[in-house]
Amino acid sequence: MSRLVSFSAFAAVAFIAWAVFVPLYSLCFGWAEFVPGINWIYLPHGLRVVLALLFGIPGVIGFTAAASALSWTLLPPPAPLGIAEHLSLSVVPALAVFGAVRLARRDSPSSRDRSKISPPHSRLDGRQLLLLAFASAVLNSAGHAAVWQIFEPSGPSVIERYVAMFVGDLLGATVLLYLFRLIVILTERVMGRSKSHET
Amino acid sequence: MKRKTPRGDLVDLYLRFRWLLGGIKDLPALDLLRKPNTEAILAEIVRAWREGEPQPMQKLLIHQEFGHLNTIRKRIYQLESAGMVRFDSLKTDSRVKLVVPTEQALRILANYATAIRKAGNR
Repeated sequence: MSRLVSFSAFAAVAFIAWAVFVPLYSLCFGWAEFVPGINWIYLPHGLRVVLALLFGIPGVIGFTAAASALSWTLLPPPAPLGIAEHLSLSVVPALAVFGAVRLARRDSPSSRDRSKISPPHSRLDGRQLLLLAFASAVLNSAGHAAVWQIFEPSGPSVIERYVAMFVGDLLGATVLLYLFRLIVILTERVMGRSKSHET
Repeated sequence: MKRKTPRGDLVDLYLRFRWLLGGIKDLPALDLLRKPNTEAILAEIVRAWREGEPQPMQKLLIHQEFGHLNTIRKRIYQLESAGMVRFDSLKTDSRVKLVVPTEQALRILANYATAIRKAGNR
């Protein structure tokens, strides 16, 4: 039961994070949109990576549910083929990020093996993180392209949308990760200064 | 098998947060080493450290060949922010800040050395 409580709590946090971040992002970055839903700098892809790394499966479920609910609210799909496409497109980012994160989380500290907490086993390399952003961008855009090909064979060019989505995901994840890095460095610097003032 | 408690899950979450923070901090710095004299300052820090006498900040600041002392100080702090150097205090005097290279800096310099050796072999 207790496991279910924390699982739901983590999923809820991921859901809220996505539901708050994406509308704000859309307001600020609407100008960089290629077609509705595809952006040249898709920062939420970075959020997907972070939520999946931090919360694991509950995080993936949380942002998938939030993304599905948001797109359903903004753009209700026509039944019945539209619903199948909508569900497929909702699941693709989850599978892409989960697959890429599984590679990076091989060495993450888990309660099963506390000895992994000590370095170097627990270390997440910065390059590994960038590789993860790249791998998840490839998987996500390829998965979307496959779904478009199946459900909209006569729609707009799949290749163009694939390229725009890949660039957007990769750029978005990289920009967001570096933004977090800047925040961490500035926070540490400010805290370091306040500590040195105290002593 | 031990059952997980919510508190245990929170401990796991904290550990994962630290792990993720480590990864984010370790992201490669974009173009820091291309800034004037930054690489030379790092090389000087590594040289002194390898000789077993890591230099204190004050001593690094008087290297006029690297520029004005304010610029050198700024570069050293930028190297610290990029995770390439860290500050250790002297055991006998905690006021003295020794500038020491991190593993990341040593890895970057080792990569440079490999690239130079490969270029030389061509």
